[in-house]
Amino acid sequence: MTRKRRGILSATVLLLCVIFYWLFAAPGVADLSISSTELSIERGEYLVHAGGCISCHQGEGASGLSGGMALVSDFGTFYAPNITPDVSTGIGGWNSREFLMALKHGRTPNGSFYYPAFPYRAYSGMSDQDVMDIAAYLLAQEPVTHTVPKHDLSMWMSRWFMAGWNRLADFSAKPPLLKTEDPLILRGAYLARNLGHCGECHTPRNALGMLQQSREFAGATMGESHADAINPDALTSWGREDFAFFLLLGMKPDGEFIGGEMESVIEHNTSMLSDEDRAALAAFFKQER
Amino acid sequence: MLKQIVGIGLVVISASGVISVSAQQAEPTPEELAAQAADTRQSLFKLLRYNLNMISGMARGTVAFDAAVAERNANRIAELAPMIPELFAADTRAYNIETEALPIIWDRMDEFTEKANNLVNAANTFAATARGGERNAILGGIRAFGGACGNCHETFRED
Repeated sequence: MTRKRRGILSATVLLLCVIFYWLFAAPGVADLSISSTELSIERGEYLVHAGGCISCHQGEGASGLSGGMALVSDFGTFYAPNITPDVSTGIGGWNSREFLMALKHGRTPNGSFYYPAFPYRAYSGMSDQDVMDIAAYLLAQEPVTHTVPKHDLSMWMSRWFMAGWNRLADFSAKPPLLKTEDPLILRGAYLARNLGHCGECHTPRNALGMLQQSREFAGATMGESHADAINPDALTSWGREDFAFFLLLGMKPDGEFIGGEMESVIEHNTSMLSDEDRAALAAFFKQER
Repeated sequence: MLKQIVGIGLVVISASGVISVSAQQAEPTPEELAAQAADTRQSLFKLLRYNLNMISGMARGTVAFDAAVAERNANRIAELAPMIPELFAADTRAYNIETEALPIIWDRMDEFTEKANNLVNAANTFAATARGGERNAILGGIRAFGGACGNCHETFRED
């Protein structure tokens, strides 16, 4: 082998190592601890509602967040996992790093990748403290032994492909900047874009399933379900109070009630929020950007 | 001549009377029956809405809270709700009538009946809550009952 060829080979190997590291290296997370104080657990309970965890992870009957709900998408059917602290089938024994890696980076405890049916890209904007409080609440719940079905996906949908998918998604457009410093609207943005992950249903996706953030909240169809547009144009005839009232009771200004998946979101998520947080969501969705 | 004219007039009047009586006695066409069924259904939903609107007005703050009115209306709703599956037993999908009821109601009658029964249960729960007289519980009960309405409309009613 000539020196030139050896050089090319070395450079190629080095480049592959760099790409491999870039795709698969575990991101760094803060070294925190999960509190078991009542205050943390109480805050965590509120955040579990605000984070929309219940709508997907709720098990049958009174079995807590033991999972099993089918999420039908264009890429196959995903089953929400058991997030009770059962050691064999749930998240029992998880530490702070595992919670931060899962919620903010979409990584499993063994270093693999979650599918983005789990909204970790929205949760990536969550504060570490909120993640720790969610962890405190989840770990304080009754463990339920429940094995959920395996995802039913196309053969090519490997978890490892998600490494590349995440990087591609990083390159796509970001949500429009908010032209305001109003703390109410910023709180609403955090609730809508991060905790409540409203865009997962209400923002259209491209062919690879990535959110088209330039059309944030423009309405979208996935599988058989359609989520309405919730941007200022779509809400022209809605006042802020109308929207906040809708988030409380699911009743539209014309007296009609919402049904389907949004009804469940109202029940487990938005109706459980404080009046201030519902007002913040209304202010955010009505804000021009 | 006059007698003849009067005679002919009587014959015409009697004949038209016979026609009118026989028209009144004629069986309604299937199309007319379907229109009547749709009309009855729509009247039921108007009544349900009338009773619910008063309570949701209390939740919105446009009407002063009145526990007695909430209880009365919730009881009425619980009485009326079981009529939904009853009235939809008449299959009207083959007729050209004015309705927002989608034909899939009768294609997927089991699913429709399940959703209608969920609504009946939600109405009974709502009425029981209203009998308790507690303001926040009553206003919160609207969400669960309204959600049962919305769940059915989502699939089975024209947008």
